[in-house]
Amino acid sequence: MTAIAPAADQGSDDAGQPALRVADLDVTYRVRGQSRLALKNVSFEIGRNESYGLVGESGSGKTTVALALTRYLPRNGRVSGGSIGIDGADPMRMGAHELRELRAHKVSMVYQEPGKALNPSMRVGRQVAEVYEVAGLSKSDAAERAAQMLGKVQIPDPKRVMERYPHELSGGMAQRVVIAMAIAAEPALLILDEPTTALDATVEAEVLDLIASLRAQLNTSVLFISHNLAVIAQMCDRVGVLYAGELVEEGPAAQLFAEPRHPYTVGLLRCIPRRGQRKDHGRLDSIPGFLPEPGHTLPGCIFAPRCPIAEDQCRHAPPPPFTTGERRTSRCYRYQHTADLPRNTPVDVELRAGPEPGTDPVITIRDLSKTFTPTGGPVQALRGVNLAVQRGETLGLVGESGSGKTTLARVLLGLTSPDPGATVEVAGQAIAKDAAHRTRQQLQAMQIVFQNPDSSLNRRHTVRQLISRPLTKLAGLSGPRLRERLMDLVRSVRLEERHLALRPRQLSGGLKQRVAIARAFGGGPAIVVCDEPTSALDVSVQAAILNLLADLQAKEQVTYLFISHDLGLVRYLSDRIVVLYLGRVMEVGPAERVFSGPHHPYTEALLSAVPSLDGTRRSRIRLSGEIPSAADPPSGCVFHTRCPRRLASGICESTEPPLAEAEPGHLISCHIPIDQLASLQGAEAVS
Amino acid sequence: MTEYKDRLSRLRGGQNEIANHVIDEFVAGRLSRRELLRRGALVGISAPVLGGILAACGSSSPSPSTSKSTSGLSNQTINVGIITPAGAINPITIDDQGGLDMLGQTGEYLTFSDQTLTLQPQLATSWSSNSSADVWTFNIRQGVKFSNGQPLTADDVVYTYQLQTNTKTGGNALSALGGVLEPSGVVKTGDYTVEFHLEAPNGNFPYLTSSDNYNMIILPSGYDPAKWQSSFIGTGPFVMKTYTVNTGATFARNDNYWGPKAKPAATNFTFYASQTPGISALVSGAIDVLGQFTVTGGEELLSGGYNVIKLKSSAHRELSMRCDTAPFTDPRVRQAIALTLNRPAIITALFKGYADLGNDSPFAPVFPSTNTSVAQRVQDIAKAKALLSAAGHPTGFSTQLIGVNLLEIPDYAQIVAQAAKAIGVTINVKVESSSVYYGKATFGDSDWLDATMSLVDYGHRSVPNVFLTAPLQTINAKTGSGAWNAAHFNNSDYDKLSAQYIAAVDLSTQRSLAGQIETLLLNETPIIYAYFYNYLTATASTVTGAYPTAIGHIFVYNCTKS
Amino acid sequence: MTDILEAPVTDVARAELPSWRLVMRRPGFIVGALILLFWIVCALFGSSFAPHSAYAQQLLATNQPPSAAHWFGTDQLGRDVFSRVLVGARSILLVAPLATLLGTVLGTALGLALGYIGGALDAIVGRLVEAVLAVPAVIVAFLFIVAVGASATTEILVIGFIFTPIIARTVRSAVQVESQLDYLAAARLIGESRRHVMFAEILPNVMPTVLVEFTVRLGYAIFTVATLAFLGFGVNPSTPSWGSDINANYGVIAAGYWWETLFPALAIASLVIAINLVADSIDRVLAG
Repeated sequence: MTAIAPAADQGSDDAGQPALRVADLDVTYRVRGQSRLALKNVSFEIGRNESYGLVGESGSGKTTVALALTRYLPRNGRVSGGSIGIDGADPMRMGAHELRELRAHKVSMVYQEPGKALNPSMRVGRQVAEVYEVAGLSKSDAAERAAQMLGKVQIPDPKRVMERYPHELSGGMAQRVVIAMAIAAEPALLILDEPTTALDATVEAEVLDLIASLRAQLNTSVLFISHNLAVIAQMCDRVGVLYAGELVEEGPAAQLFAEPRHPYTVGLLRCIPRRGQRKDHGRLDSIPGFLPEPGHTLPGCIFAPRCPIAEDQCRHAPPPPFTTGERRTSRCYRYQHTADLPRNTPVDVELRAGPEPGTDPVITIRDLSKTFTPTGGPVQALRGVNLAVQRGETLGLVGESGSGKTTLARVLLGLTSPDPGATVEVAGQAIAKDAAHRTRQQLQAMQIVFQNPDSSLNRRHTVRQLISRPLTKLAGLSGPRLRERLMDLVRSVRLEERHLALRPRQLSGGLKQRVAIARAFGGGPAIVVCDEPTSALDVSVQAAILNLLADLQAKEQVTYLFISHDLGLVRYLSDRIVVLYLGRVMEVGPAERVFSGPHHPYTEALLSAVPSLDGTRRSRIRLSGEIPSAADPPSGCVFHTRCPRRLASGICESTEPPLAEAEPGHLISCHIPIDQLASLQGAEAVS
Repeated sequence: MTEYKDRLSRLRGGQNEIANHVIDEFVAGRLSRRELLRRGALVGISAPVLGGILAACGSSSPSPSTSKSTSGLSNQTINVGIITPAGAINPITIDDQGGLDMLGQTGEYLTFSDQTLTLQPQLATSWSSNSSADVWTFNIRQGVKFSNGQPLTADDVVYTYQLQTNTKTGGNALSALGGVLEPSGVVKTGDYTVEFHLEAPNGNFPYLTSSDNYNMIILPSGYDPAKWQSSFIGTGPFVMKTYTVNTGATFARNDNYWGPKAKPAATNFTFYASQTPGISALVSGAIDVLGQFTVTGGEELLSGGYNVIKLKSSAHRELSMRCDTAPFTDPRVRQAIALTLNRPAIITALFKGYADLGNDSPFAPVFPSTNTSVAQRVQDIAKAKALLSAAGHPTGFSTQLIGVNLLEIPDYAQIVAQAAKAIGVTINVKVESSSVYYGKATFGDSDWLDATMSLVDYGHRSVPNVFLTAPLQTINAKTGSGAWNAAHFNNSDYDKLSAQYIAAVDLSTQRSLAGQIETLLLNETPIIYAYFYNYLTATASTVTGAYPTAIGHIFVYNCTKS
Repeated sequence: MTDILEAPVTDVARAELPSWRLVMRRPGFIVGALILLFWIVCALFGSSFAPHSAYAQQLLATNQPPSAAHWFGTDQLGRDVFSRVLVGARSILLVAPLATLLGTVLGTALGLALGYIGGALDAIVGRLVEAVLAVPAVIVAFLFIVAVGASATTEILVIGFIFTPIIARTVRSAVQVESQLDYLAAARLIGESRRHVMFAEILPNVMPTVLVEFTVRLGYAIFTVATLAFLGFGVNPSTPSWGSDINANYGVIAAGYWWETLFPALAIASLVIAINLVADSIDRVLAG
């Protein structure tokens, strides 16, 4: 047991006053007459020009911290203890005028949804210029500075963008505008609350780059709030880990992620697939149990109920912050034992070998195109897709939003009808394009797990109704056989019988997704489409769901069509990968080949956009600009407008490259020959 | 005494037999002074003669309230509010108060029935009948010009009367003149003399030439009455300046008027769809004169601060019970219903007392011929119950009463329904808008004429003739009699008595016949006449000289405001 | 393999109070419901506890101002205004809820069909609905009643039919929101029939909207019934009815007999406000 030294006491920075000092902060929400402690005893500080990351799962209190700092807490919330110092001033003691000054000059916030931060009825330029006008500049000077600032956040042609309304901007562009406004006042502290969560990976990478470069230019301290550990690892100097309103561990980012000293941090990190991990070996671990209910107080350590190494002491007295290294603290009595934390799931499990080689494909898609015709003119969502998927195989579908992943899934399922000429065969039999015309067997063959269980589960139905319905409709079961199968399913997705009577809103996100999975498996499908099945879930829950999907596949020999923007997940789970861009297949191949390369320049860009936990960055190729509109796709190779490896010959602009076999089973649609790609991407190819 | 007799006989010298009978009645004390004036005028005794008679008998001379003083011409504009005319202002078709108000502004009649129901000469200077009262001679005023400059002659009178009595024209005046005068009976006997040869003797005929028979304004010979609205052509003290349908009209003083000139330089009429806005307009000062208002809704004007002109009138409501439909086929049932009404209380509640009791006949107290010796029917629940039992309805029955939605009628209907409850009769009241209620105003196509119990409004008339004929005489599609007989009353005795009454010339005969009719109707009770309400006009307290008539005219030629 | 999936029991038990209990806690709802309850009691039993008969006339004591004997005074026929106001609740509370119920049932069915099936049906019916909505409800009701004649049944049918497209439009929007949700796609993928999707999947989810719409429309229905009565389409003039009593007596306000109009008007207002309070409370609780 080393000396107890609260973080707040030790942090006197060289530059004197820290940019932010939070000491023993308590925030209480009053919900239906009851007080609930949302933050408890939170202390941290951010030095000048320092970037501090707050990570935590939903409900951990991340956003409450940000709101408390700027006194934007909702009406039912209040700071019930502790103090805040922003540049030495305490917003809690400020009058309305001072508070306005503080918000105008010292603190700026950037939120997850840029759309909500911009006034939809005002031109972008005005909104940015206003920041300067408030600061006292003349109208024309303000407009001039606004244009400069938009240039600074790497908006091409700022004058034109200034004339637009927020809805005319893409998400990435809008977030840049918001960032421009936030840094315009040159605040002492910039708070970024999940600033890239709503963005595509490639855009996220750009925005993160932008933030990093701005930070280097401006003398601004940053509080970066995210659930994404990799983003935090990449962006921040120091990190605090929030769990259930308490800061459980704090330390320099690289050290903390390399050697976590709190069982919760350890658990979180084990939930995330790392390179080289696959569903059949190096399985993801998960954290058992759930977050304590908001406002629920435990006598001891808040994490103790979920902690595999908790001792009696942990359950009786809350641990103080132990200093665990230089500038590192952990609120854990047993921080020295965290490295040996036992796993919740075994590292390796016996999974039957994935696809059965040589058998007939379970789905064959030929010449699949889909053109939407909204009022603006036809939009090609998919163009000439040919695919064959084997039984028991997991096919990963990756691509940015708008690439056609979800459309492809919906066409397969019969929820969207393809353009004429397409064929969809299941086990060699062509099936109806529209789900309404499919036979029971055809419907039974293909099911889906949607991204958001709140949307995909009828909130008025009980779990029993939700899971039973496909059993009756598709499997044709009733009576005791129905009940038997229902219980089977419930057990196989690791729900309990008592959950059957509940409605979705009484379940946590992970449990809801289990219900959705149970429903998809109810009819005994041959193919299950998983459309971003874990993107609405917290990391610790995601791991459990992924493991469940892997187990179910092994047991039922189903084929997965796994759609995700998270390449790490796709790599962990998939046998083969399809990379889509603007509705076209750019690359198909075995997962490891696609990831390791040589690969299509677009795949290369996608991969290099992924922030990695260890903080090391792969050499980056960045995509310039946004994904072009599918209503007006570029000529030749559709990727040529953003391709960093575009050929000087001009062939990329004029001719669409065929999807050619570069290696056995690995097809790439690129004019650059594979060996040339290999040498261009040389470094990666080995990793 | 001899002097008195001499003077009388000198006065009598110029008079015909009927006129002399009137004078005899007065001398014998059977006519009041007022009645002498009224009856005298009717039979054509001129005002100076009547004055002489009164003077001879020691009474002061009459001062007709319509006296038109020549002094006091002003530049004032008098603002008048009246009810909106129901349709085009056409002398043939007018049958509503707003319309007749408009006719009266520029149009004139042969005779004028004043507020005391006394006839005054207007476009006729004098009139007389033969002894059987079936030929009436009218002398037409000379020197009168229409507003287009055309002089008035006997031709215009003949044209007007032949037009109005022509059944093909189908005019509203037929309701009074039908069966009385045919076009062929209108005979020009000189440039300024017209004879009316009547179908049957009619002692009250001059009233049919008066303002009471409001359609009968004299039109220029050959003038198309359908065009009247564009010109308002007439001989009256005003000429029309503007007329805007449903909105109002303005008039200017007629400087060529044959009589005393109108005092106001102009008048401005505003039309109101109902009396409520009219009252508001008077209260706010937007108008000076409100043509008519009723107690229902007009309580405010009765509470002081306004000049209220009250005229006893024969306006009433007829509650008809279908004599040909069970249970009202039995007169005892009809009587029983009539006996449930507490008439004085009804008058108090509905009219604040501004009404006369009705005795279930159209003989209003205002009529001289009304026989007041017939006992007034009073509320008698016990008797009503007994009658109902005797008629075979000891526990009562249920029926429906349909009324028109006008003024106090819905309230009256509810009072009747509530009163009938006392003898176990349930009356479901249904109130309809006038268009629905009147329907086509023909049998089989009108709730008014077809309902088991029907409650309808009747406006004022100076003589009861119309009340006695259309609603009570036996229905006859050929002759057109009984055209408004909503009670489907069919009684030959009544038909005879009413015909006799109409033919009767002298008052005592009329009174005696009236008594018989009243008694007959009390026994039969086809229609309940509970009250005759006063005609009320209001002006601002600063305004004098407004002259309404109970038939619905409002004359403002003598108006001044201070 | 100890993948513990213990849902915190307290979370399930305390997560959501049943929403009716939340509604009950709102002061607006309590006030509204009490007023509503009062009028319902009046509608049912008003004549038995009214101090006077609502029909009895005192022709010699008309237009009496409020006094100890007649709390709300007497009207032009000497009837007790207080008693008429109490008993007058019946006519409105019979017609308005039934009309609203009719409109809600038809409107919900139509709205489900329009929102879920959509397409040409939606386009055609949508235009018709717009056309109907372009004319004020009272005027449409007025025209129908003039044509067909006044009776309680006619009023129920007419108001119900007028409300149908209005409610359909609201329900349609709610259905379209639901149509964006994946559970409908999930239902299609297990081969559910349209009818099942509309009535078993969507309907329960739009029921809150329907409930709010019902309460809001009920307020309008009361207003419409009162207006029609005021315009003279009451069933029987002596039957106590707030609207027709106002119509019968508003003419004498100027003469100072304000009580004959004020109290029925307050009764209408209180009922409409009560229903709006209830509607608002339900709406707010359902909206979260």
